[in-house]
Amino acid sequence: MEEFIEHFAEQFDETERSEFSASTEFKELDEWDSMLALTIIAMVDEEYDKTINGDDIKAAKTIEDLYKIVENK
Amino acid sequence: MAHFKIDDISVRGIVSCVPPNKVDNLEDINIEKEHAEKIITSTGIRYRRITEESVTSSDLCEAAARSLIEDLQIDPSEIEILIFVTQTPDFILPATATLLQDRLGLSNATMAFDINMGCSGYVYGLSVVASLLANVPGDNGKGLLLVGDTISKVANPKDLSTYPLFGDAGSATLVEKKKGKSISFDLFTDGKGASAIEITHGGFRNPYDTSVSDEITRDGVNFHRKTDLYLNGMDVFSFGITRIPKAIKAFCEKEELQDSDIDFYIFHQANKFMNEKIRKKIGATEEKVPYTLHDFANVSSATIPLTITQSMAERHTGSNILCCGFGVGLSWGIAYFKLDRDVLLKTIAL
Repeated sequence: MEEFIEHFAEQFDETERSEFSASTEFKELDEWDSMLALTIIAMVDEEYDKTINGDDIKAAKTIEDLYKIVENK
Repeated sequence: MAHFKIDDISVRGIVSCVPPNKVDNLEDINIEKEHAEKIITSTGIRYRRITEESVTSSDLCEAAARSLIEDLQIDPSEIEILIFVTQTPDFILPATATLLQDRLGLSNATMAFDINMGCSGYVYGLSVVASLLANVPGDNGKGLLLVGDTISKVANPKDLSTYPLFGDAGSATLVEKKKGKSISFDLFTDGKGASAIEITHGGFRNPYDTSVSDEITRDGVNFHRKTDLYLNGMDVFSFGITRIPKAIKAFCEKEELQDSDIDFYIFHQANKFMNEKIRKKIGATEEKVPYTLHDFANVSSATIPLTITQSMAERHTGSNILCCGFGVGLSWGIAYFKLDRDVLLKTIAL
């Protein structure tokens, strides 16, 4: 989980690392946009060799939600 | 698995045709400049070539075909096959290929039909022309592959997931019999993902009615009419970065190709962010992967021929190229062949 949060946070340029935790509602972050969504999809593909799509991003509220989705793939 | 090789077939020339009207994304998109710059950086698309309202895909392809036939000094009566690949035909019916047979002055002994394919359409069309030509008796068979789209006509200015991405273009490719040459193909389909790229209304499942002009939104941000193009960027992206590198790697294994056997990878020009991910995943160098996105945007089915005529005309010396189209369908395909040293490659404007 910690590693996932780390990878997740690395995709952001402007948001402070301290803002990211398991319970972070990532779509509420100022920096979040459709490009970042693509970056997260790419990160999951590269780091975990798993494919997530738009519905998965939509279904996840927190970083932990997304982590669980990735884990169950 | 649709993996096959057609022998004694070669591409003799390709002409691409773009509209002269050049639109700058920095000025044309109705958003803050900073946001527009961000879109341009991530998509790699600065300019789009847009047709006038009266110009169709078939007009662009006809101009390309005329130039191709004239430059190669082909007798039009030698062309026995005409295939038009498009998702923006002139009419619901008849097939636009029949109109093009007449407009180009080809003989009545020409077989002519349309193929409804987009991003993968050039590779699919090439596979069909090559396969048919292989069965034409004699050594002189010639086939004309016309591939083009005017997606700008179905991209809504209020939809930033489509509008800044698409331009218009047509192309004409002359395929002929040639001893000792070949083209290898590998073609794929996943209809489960069909709703990732679609125009839902105006066909016969959801016929045209007065409601189609209402603008709707699926994500609360972007708006389009039901007869406009819808594109789910996230789903297309996850499809592209997973399926395409796998397909290319598997193809190279089956064909026993090393990276050194491939001089250029000609990808469908989707957007820079996705294409670069694909390039890195297959381990190809930047030099081997040309782009036309910056100046011409994503021109749907015509991206591969346009990228060949734009980037290869001056640099290739009998190059082996691997073409890969991917997108709407979902459909994807690979074609691998050698471009002859004397192949005609040209881009014109209409």
